[in-house]
Amino acid sequence: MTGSICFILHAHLPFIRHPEHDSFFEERWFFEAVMESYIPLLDMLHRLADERVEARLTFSVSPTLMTLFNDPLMQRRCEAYIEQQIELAEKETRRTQGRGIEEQLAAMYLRRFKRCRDFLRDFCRGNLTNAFCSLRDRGIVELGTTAATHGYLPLLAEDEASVRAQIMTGVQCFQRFAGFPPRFFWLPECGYYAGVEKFLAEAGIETTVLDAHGFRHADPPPPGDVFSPARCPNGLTVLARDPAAAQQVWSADEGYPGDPDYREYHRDIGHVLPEEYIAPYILDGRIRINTGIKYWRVTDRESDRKEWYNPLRAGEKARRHAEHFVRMRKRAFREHNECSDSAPVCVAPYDCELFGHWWYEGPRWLEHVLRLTAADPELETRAVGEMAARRPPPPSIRPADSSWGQNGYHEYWLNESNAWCRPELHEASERLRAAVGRPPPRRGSPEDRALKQAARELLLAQASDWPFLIRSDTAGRYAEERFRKHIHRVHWLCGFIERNEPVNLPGLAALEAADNIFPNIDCLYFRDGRE
Amino acid sequence: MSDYTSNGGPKGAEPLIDQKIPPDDLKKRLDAVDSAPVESAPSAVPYIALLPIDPYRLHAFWKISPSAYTAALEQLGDAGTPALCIRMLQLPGMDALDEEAAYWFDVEVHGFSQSWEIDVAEGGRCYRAVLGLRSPSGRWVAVARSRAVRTPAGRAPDLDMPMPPKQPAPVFAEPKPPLDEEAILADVDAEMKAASAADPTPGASLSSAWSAVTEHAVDTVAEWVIEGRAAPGLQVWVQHRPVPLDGEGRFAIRRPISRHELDAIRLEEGPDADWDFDPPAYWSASRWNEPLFEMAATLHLRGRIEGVAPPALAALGATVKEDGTFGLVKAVPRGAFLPPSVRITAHRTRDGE
Repeated sequence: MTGSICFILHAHLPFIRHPEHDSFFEERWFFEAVMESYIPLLDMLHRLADERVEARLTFSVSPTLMTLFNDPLMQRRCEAYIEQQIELAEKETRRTQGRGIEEQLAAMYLRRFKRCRDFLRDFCRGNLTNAFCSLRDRGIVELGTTAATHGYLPLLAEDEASVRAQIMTGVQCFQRFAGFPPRFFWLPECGYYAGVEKFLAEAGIETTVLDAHGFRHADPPPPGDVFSPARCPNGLTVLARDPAAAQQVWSADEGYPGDPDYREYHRDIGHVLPEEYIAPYILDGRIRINTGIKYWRVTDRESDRKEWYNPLRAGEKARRHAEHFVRMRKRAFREHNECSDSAPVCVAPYDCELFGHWWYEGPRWLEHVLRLTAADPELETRAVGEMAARRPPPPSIRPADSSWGQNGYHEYWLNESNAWCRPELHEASERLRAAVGRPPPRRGSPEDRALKQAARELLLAQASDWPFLIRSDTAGRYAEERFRKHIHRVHWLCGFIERNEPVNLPGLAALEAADNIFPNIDCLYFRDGRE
Repeated sequence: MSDYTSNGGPKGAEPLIDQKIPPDDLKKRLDAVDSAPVESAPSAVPYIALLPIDPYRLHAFWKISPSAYTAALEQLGDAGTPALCIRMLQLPGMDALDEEAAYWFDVEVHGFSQSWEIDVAEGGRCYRAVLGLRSPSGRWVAVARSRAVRTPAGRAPDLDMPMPPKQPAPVFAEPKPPLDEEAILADVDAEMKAASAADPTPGASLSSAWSAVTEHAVDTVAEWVIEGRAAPGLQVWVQHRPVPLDGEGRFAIRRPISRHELDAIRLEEGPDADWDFDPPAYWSASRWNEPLFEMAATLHLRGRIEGVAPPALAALGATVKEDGTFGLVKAVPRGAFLPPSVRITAHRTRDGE
């Protein structure tokens, strides 16, 4: 055996659920991810399990996403979305009749959408948690989780109670839905700071992953560089992302997804077909949005000229790119083995939504890699959690603070566009801490419910997604509005406790209905000194 | 799938909070909550918080109430207008006392600002921020202290973030003939074969040559030789140090290779530039279709073989003399792996010259 590859697919979406509206545009992020990423990946992995392909990989599923999977309202809306997609694809097959490639592509989408519907309805009974847990039971997938609302922990570190609440609440939420405690924890945005391992260990976590420079600037740097696991002084096993494996998939310039033969994400029939035709499938019948049906390939990234997408050619490219990926890993492993006795491990974490949604051929590429690796005597795939049990125990290091964000640290979540969020978060958490520090109200009383809801609102405000979206200016207005509302709601709820005033029950019930995540939240995590 | 319920995950999962409120009523209630006035927190204790951004930058934010400010002014009791300052203490450890600070410096902040970005000289150090007033005579009254924080150690490679979506331009759909599977696969085969030629097989790869040489040779010297040219107005940096450029922006550098260093090279993009180029084999970086710099990289191996020369050397075209000495110069194809010690970046110089 030359070495092991640990794939980690990190599945996360912010908690976007708007029962106060009949439909809400940003909820489509969830529906699109379900149809384009999660179902194709889960379907593919179940197929590998059916064929008894020797493959292992790790999924980290965020608590917000798991809650959405399990939410009856979101399940109904997701089913309706898929039915609408099928309706559009059927309409497209009629429109494109006799138009060669176009007709074939429309038929491809129709088949695919129907397959999604069948998978979700018949195989998962509407809840994708079932497919994830089933894969875990079949031994092909390890399931882990992340912080409750994907809070960016290095920037919450000035308030350790918030870090603990993010980790403990996330772990409890995962356990509630999955039925077992997670052993692997994905640090949101791969954001590590010295000290977070204390809370991870407290939550029963055994393994996590850092970016490469968290290892390379560690004290001391581990002898196997990024190819060997290491341990924090408290025993937490840490692994490092392999930058070369990341580059080959992630890089906008040199990564596989930019290949001219792959499907172009940015050109969608929602933007190009006549308005009277596409109106029922775009926003308010007039604002053009992606529909998920795209007939063109990347062709030339620098040009607007796009040629027809050719799924055969793209599929073949995915296979060749998989071969290249495997060849590169073997080459790196051989180099490592020349100077080290420890078996090398390549840790390759990616955002799950990259596969299928952004990179249409991603699931196919991954399937090829898993099949190639299973058939190769020099390689194996492993779940990250298996590394904690490695013997002899890996060397002890003090990792360096790091993230996988731009320039490797925290600036994407703390810069001139979103720095205003920090004092808002600080003051809201101080206020909640003061409210929680008062004599505890009777369990189930309006005051108890208000405190718990305030804790939910604070966790939702701490999501890394809001500063990220504000910085990238994609849905920045929505992100800012969400952030401000959650902060406002913390203050509104804590005000009743501070003033010893009866809680506004209609308002409280509305917040419980809208932000209904973490029903069993323990708001005492926000109190100082709780052990 | 019988172990799982159809709704709510595995059996035994507790139900979600499910307040059944009709959407219209819910919206009204939420609007009422979100528009209700809220008082700020009753306690008006001044604070300052410090967050590291990267090894060399920290972000401080604070709040100081008028009454706390007035109290500090009275305590200062000095003539002249005091300055609101952040006193940055560099501490020997996270648990160290302020008095143990190795050194400190003051950052004078604007009176109305409530946050500041602070540059520090060293990464991996502990700092505490103290917010206070400093009189013209140097007297100091502290108002609030932050927790100690440690800046990250070292620097990082810059890895790409996912690209944000961009709006496409409209196109017109034209009917096309159906797919011809055989022709497509033959076409892909030819293209991939061409790509494979540029990406040598393991038997003749650069890394296998390196392996062969280090196994069989003595007195081996290996280095990258990189020659290139930067667009006007750009400065080229290697490992954060500027490289001398001649009058035409040309540069040449040699870097020794560590056999353990294998990583993907990154070419950072700089601002726009107007420039043409004509190198035979090159790496280049461009922005918006305009080249920024180009370079050609060659791998140089020199040494002496004891015994029979390994076939990998001959396969790569190395000449081995009778005394066993050999030399090999190999152009590095675009997309090959280069070690981080040749990480090259280009930046526009401050004055644009």
